[in-house]
Amino acid sequence: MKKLACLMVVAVLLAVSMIPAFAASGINKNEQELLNYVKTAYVVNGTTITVPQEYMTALENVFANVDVTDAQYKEIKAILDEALAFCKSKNLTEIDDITKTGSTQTLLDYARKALAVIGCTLATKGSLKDADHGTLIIYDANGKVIAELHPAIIKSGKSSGVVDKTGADYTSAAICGVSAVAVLAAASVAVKKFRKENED
Amino acid sequence: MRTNSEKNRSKKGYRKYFIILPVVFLICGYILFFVCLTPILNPLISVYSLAFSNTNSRTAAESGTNSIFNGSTGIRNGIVNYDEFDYPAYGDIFGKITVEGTNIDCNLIFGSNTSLLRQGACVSIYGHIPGCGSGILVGAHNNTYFHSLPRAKEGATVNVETNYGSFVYRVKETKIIKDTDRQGYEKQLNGDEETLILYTCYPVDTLASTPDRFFVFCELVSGPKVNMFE
Repeated sequence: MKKLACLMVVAVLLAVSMIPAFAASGINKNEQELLNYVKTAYVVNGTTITVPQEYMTALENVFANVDVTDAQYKEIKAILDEALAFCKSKNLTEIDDITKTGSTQTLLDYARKALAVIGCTLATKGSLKDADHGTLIIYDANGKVIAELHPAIIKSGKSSGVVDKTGADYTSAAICGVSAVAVLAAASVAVKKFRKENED
Repeated sequence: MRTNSEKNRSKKGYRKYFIILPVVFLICGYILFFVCLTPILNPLISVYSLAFSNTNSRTAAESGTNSIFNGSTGIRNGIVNYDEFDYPAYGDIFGKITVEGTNIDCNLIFGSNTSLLRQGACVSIYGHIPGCGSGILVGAHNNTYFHSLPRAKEGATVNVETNYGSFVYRVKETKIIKDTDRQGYEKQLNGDEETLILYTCYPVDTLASTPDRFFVFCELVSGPKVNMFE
């Protein structure tokens, strides 16, 4: 009986410890605080650098699928404070400043640390200098994608937007066509050479 | 009597015609067959996994997507709280969209990337989901799901069924906007009025991505309100 009770306690504790990070939920008080922090905290020389609303919405969408506890909030906020101090020390006011000052890796490390608090990981795809093709991918603990984000949607005052490339998707057809042309070209070269050698 | 150089030449020719060329043809032929047969083999593999594997129909649907949509809920008004439904996760099929006057009748997927765009109309995470009282940005390929989007006329009805409610929108305006022109749709996307924004590459018959997008802005007619905040 004792063993059974012990097993039950372990099972309940395991289940409870898993709930905070992955239970689908609304946006709680801690998440609202984080949203406000991201929205208003970055003030350089008296000017608040605003995060585009699209990013705030993306963050809301991520928060709707995770649950940030009080302890996690404190940990994340401490990391964000550090990241903020770093940005201010480097005087980063434009997206371009990040690459110019070589701060990309440091900022990615801060993001990775903050995401690790809620059991998530961050990966990058393509060059982050390229707002159209570079991508930041956030994974949950099970390796499932939670979000894919553009590194920038406004670059040097010029917008690159959040709309996708929705042109015709002819990838398969293109590969098929190129392969067919390659086969034909190789065949014709081979036939020509074969004939020439026969004539010789 | 054959000289050494003649022997070398014939050896080279032997290698070229009996080893290198067949290998090249084999590889090219394999790629050709693989690409041609993939569309035929994929449904067969799906049917096989559905019939003979232990996975259920939900996981066997499409790679990378999970469906949380099981048909209309019939909820057309009122308030839906965050704890009353499954908030879609990235890559989830969570609804369906139809547009009057067009052939558009496809799945709604939460999130967008190259792979998801092949499977339906994608709801951008830079916008909200229907019912949140703000902009909803939905994109799809111009050669498949949204090919007939330019046929959507002002006043046409757009029906959106989701796993938490049924929404009706009306086409208010159509516009051609450059893909980099964020200001062309920013007000509707980030505004306080619920606006469904549909877009695809324009012109729709071009063979590659274009810098122009055909946008359709729709106003909400009816649907429940979603409360995301605890």
